[in-house]
Amino acid sequence: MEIPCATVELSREGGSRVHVHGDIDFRNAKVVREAVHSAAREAGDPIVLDLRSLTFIDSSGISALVRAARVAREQGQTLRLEGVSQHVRYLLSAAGFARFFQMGDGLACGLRIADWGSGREEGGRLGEAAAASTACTPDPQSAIRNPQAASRRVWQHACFAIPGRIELVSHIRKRVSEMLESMAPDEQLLEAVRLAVGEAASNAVRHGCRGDERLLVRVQSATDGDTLVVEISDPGPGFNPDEVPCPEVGELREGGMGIYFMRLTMDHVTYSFEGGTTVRLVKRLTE
Amino acid sequence: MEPAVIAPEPAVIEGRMRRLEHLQDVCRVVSSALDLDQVLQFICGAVRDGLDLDRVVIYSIDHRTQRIIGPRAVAPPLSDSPEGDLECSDGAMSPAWSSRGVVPSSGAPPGDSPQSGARSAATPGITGCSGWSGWSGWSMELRRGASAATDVALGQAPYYLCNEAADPSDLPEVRGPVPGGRCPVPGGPDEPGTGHRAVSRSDEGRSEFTLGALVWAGFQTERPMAVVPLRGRTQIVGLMLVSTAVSGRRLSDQTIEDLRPFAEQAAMAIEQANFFVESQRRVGFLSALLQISTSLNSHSELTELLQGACDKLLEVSGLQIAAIYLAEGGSPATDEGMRGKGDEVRAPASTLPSSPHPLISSSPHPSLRLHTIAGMRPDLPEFYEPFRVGERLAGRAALERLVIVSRNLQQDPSKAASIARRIGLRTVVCAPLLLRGELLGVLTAGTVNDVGLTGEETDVVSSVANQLAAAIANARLLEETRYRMVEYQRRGDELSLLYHISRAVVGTIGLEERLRVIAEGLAEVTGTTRCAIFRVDRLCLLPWVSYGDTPEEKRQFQALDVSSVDAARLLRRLMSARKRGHLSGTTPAGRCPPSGGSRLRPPTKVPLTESVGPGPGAATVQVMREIDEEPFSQVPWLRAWGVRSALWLPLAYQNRLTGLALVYQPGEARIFPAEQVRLAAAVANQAAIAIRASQAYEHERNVAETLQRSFMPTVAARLRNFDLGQTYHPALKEAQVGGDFYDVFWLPNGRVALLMADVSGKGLAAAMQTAMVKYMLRAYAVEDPSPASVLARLNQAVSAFSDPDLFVTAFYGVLCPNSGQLQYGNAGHDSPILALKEHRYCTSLDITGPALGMEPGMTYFSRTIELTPGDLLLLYTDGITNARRGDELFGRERLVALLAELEGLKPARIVSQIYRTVRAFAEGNLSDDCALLALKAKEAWKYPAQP
Repeated sequence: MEIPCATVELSREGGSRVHVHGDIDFRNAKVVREAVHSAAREAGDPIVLDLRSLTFIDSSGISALVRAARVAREQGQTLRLEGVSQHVRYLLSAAGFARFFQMGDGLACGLRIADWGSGREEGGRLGEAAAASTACTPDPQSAIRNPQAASRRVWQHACFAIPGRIELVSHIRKRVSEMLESMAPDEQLLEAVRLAVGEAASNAVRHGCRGDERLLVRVQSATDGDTLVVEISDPGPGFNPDEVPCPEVGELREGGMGIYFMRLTMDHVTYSFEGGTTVRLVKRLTE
Repeated sequence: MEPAVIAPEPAVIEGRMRRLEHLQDVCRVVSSALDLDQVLQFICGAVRDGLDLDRVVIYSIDHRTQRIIGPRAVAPPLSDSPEGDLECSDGAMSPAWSSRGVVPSSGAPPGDSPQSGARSAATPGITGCSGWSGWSGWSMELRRGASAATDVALGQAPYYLCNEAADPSDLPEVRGPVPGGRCPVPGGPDEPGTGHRAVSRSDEGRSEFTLGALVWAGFQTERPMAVVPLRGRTQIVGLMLVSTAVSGRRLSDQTIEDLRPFAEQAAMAIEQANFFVESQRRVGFLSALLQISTSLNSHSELTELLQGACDKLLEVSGLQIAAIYLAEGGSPATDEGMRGKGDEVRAPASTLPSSPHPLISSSPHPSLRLHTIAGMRPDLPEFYEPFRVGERLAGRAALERLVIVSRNLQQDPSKAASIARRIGLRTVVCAPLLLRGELLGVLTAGTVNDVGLTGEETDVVSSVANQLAAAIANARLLEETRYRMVEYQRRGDELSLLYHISRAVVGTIGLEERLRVIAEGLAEVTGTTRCAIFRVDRLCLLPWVSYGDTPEEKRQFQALDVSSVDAARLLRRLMSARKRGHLSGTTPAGRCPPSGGSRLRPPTKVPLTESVGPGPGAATVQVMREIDEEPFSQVPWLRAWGVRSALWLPLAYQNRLTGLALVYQPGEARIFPAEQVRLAAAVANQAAIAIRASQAYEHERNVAETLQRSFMPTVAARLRNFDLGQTYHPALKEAQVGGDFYDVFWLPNGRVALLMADVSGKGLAAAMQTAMVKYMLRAYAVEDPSPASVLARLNQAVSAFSDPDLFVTAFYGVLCPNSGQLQYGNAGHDSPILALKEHRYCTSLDITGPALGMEPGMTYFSRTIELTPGDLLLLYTDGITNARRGDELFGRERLVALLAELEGLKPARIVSQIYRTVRAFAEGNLSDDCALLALKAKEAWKYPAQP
C-alpha cells in the first residue's frame, strides 16, 4: 500500500506548492518529479516544494529534485524548497546542486550550511571529500557529535534477511535506522546512515538480486555506541567500485551517485565479493 | 636260694638236688608265661615231688572281692591222682586240668556235687565237697580271724604249720576276737623263726581256734599240713597248702623254708597273671570310658546320648541298672520339655523359645526327674516319680554334690533307700552331674548282686557322670545353637524379604506407585493375592490402591464409599479389639511392630466421636476370621469381595494412622500364622514410613510444580487479537524447573508483557535465578513497562544480586493487543523470528542490549514493531537452535524454514510441531531446556469500540 509521496496544491496567491511525504527513493522519485512538472505546467511561479514531511531521500530522490529544478528553470520558474532538513541541504550542497534551488527561510531544521562545515558547498571539493571518505580517513567534520552515546556502554545487533524485492528496501533502511534511532543520535547522523544504508540496500536489491524474489539480501548491523557497522550482502556478482567514477560537480546522472553518497556520509565503505557482494558501512557515532 | 653250708648228708644232698631241679623247672615254667593254672599246677606237682609232700594245693586271693579263691591248682597224692603223673607232663597239662579252675563249674568231676554259684557263699564255711577235685570255684571270705588260713592270707601270720590231728571242735562257727596283736607285722620269709614262734604262740594260746578256723573239708583231716603265703611284691596273692597226710611225715620249719622259693615262684606267676588280668581289665575300663566319652561327644540328640551312656555303663561294669535324673527348674514349660522319652521328637525350637535353657535354670530347690534308664525296668511306679533334691539316694547325692556309694541297701532301713531296697538293689552309687558347680542331674547306678562295687566301678560312674555333665551342656549348647540357627535362618529369610520389599518401595518415588509396591509386598508376605489399602482421613476410609484385583474390581474399589459409620466402627474395633480379646488370632500388642502405639487422634468432626471412647486407642494388627463376625456383618463390601478372613494392618507413622491395609484371599477362611502376621506388620511398618516419605516428596513436588507453574504464563487465555502457543521442556527431568522460562502477564495499562528468558545453567540453581529474574522483571514492568527501562534495571539487579558467573538472556516485549504494537527489548537473547504475513517473509528482531548480569550499567534499547493480522512472532531459547545431531546443529535457518511451513497453524500446534521436529532431529537427545512461545496475530482483528 503506497501512500502517494507527493501532492500538488495550488496556492491562492499564485504558484503552486508540492508536498512531499515520506521516503523518496528510487521507487517513487519519479512521482516527485512528475508532481513538480505538473505544478510547473499548471501554476505559475513560484513552485514551492515542501519537504517538511519528507522522511527520507536517497540519491534517486535527489536526482529527481535536481531534474525538477532544471525543468522549472528552463521554464523560467523558480523552484523553492521549504522545510529542507540539514541532511538534505547537506546532500544538495555536497553534490553541488544547492545552486539549483532557492531555499526558503522558514526552515524547520534551520541550521545554516555553515554549520555543516565550511566550504562544503564548494563543488570542487567534492572529489576530495569522497576520496577522503573512501580512504577510510575519518572525517571529523562528518562525525556527528553524540555525547550521550560516548558515555554509554551499548551493544546492539540485528541480523536479518530480506527477500530481493524492491519494496522491501525500505525495511532494511528502517531496521538499521531504528537501531540508530534508539540511541537518539543527531538527526544528521541518522540521515546519513539512512542514506548510506538505503543506497546500499537498493543496490543490493536492484543489482544483486535483479528482481529475483527468491534471493535474499542479508543484513547485519551492530553497534557498540561508538561505531555503527552495517553489512549488506546480496548474492549478485558485484562490481568494481573503483570503476564507478566520481560524478562531476553538478553532474546529474543515474548510477554512481549512490556510491558517492555512501562514501560521502559514511566513515568507511568497503566492498567484498565472497559468494556475492557485501558492502560494509562503518560510521563513527562519537568524536 | 642260699647255698647250703651244713655238712651234707647224701640223702639231704640228694633231696636238695632234687628240689633244685624242680625249682629250676618251676622257674623255667614260670618264666615261660604259660596259662596261670597250668603254671600253678606244675608248681604244685613240682613242690609235691620236690619236697616229698603228699598233697599241694594253691589258692589265690582276690583282693578285689576280698576272698580266697581256690583251689587254683592241686597236686594230689600220687596214689589217688586220677590224672596220673603230673611231673612227667612237664607243663603240658591234661585237658581236664587245664579246663579247671578258671571256669569254676565246668571242670567239676562227676560224682561230686559242686556248688556252681561262684559267689553264693555268704559266710565262711565249707562249700565244696570232701573230694579235692570238686573244689574248683570255692571261695571264702577273707576275713580277719576267720581262720588260720585267712590270717596267713592277711599277713597276720607268716605261715601255718600243724602236725597234730584235727580237732573236731575246729569248726568255722567258732568266732572270737581276732588275735591280731600276736603278729602285727607279717614276718618276712627270711624270718621263719618269728613266724613259727608266732604260730607256736597261737598254738599255745588259742590253737584250737586258729586251727579250727582253717576250714576246708580236705584239710580237716589232713595232718600234718602247712600253709604258706604266696607273697607278692606288695601283698599276699595266694596260699599254698601242703600236707604229708599220706606219709605222715612231720613238717618242719625246714619244710617251710624249702617251700619258700616255690612259693615265691608261684606268687610271681600269680602276680604276673593278676597284673595281666588287671591290665586287661584296665584297658577294658579305659576303652569303655573312651567309648562312653566318644558317644557322649557325638552330636546326637541329648536323649539318645544319655541312653547310650547308660547302656555303655552297664556294658562295661557289672552293674544292673543305670538311671539318669535331670534337674528341673520347676517351670511348667520345662516340665513339658523334659518329660521323658515321649518328648524326644519335640523340636528344639519349640522347647527353647527363651534364651535361658530350661535345663540350665537354677531354681534353689529343683526337682529331679527320671530321664533315662538302662538295664532293669523296675515295676515300681514310685521309681518313675519326680522327687526333690535331697530325697532318695540320688537326691542326697544331688544335695551334697558328692558321689555317694550306698552299700548293703537291703539292710538299710532308711527312707532314702526304700525305693532302692524295694527294687532289690544292694549297692548303689549316685554321682551328681555338675557343670561348673551347677547341678544338672544325677547319674545313678546299682547292682542287685552281693558283690560290692569296686572303687574302679565307682570311679567309672563318677567319671561318666562328669562326662555326662559336659555332654549335657554340649547337647544343650548344640540344641540352643540349632535353635538359634533356625531362628536366624528364619529371621534372615524375613530380613531378605523385607529388604526386597523395601528396595522395591524405595525404587519408587511417586506415592501411587509406592503404594502399589507395598500392597504387592503385603500380599506376598502373607501368601495371599489381594491387598487393598485405604487412606485414613479423620476416621474416614478412602480407597487408595488395590492389588491383585481385576480392572473391574479395581474400579469398584475406587468407587467404594465406606460410610463414616462403617469406618468408625471398623477403626474402633481395631483400636479396642485388644481389650475385648474375642477376635481370634489377635496379635498381642507387644509383638506387632507397627507402632505398637499408633494412635488415632480424637476425631473432631465425625459424628461417632463419643462412641470411639474418651481416650485415644491404639490400633493393632488384627486378624478377622469369620464372615459373620462383626464388623464383617456390618460391612457389606467385605462380604461382596468374598472376604472370609482378613488381616488388617494399620499403616501408622509416629502415632499417626495414615492408612489401613487389608490383606485377604477371596473366599478363603485363611489362617494367618503368627510369623506371617509379624512379617506383614513389619512390612506395614516400613510401608508407613515410605508412605510418609512419599507424601512428603509429593508435597515437595507439588510445591516445585506450583512454583514451576508460576513461572509459566497463566494469562495466555485471551489476548484479543492474538493467539498464544507455548511449550516448555526442561533438560533435567528430575528438576521440573529449568533455566529457560517465559512469562506472559498483563500490565496495568492494558498491555501484555511477553518474556522469554534463559538463565545460564540448569537445574535448581538456575530455577532459583529464574524465580528471581521473573519476579523482579514483573516488578519493574509494573513500574515502567518500557523494555529499555525494564531490562536496564533488571541488568543492574541481576548484576548486583546474582552469581557473577550467571547471566540471563531475555527478550521482553510489551504488546498492545488492540493495535498490535509491540515494543520490545532484547538482552542478548536469541532473536525472535517474526513472520510477516503481509510481506511474506520471516525476519528476526534485534538484539538491543547485552545479556543481563554481564556488567552493570549497560544500556538497553527499545524497539517498536507493528504486528499486523497474520503476523507470527516466535520466541524461543537456544535449546531449539542448539539441538544437535552429531556435529550438526538444528540452527536458525531450519527453524525459520520450519516456521514458514507451519505459518498457517494455530500457535499451540506450531510450538508442539516445532518441538517434535527438533526432538526428532536430535534423536530424542535434547541436552538443554526448550521453551517456545508463539504469538500470532489473528487474521481478523477486532478493534475496540471507540468511545
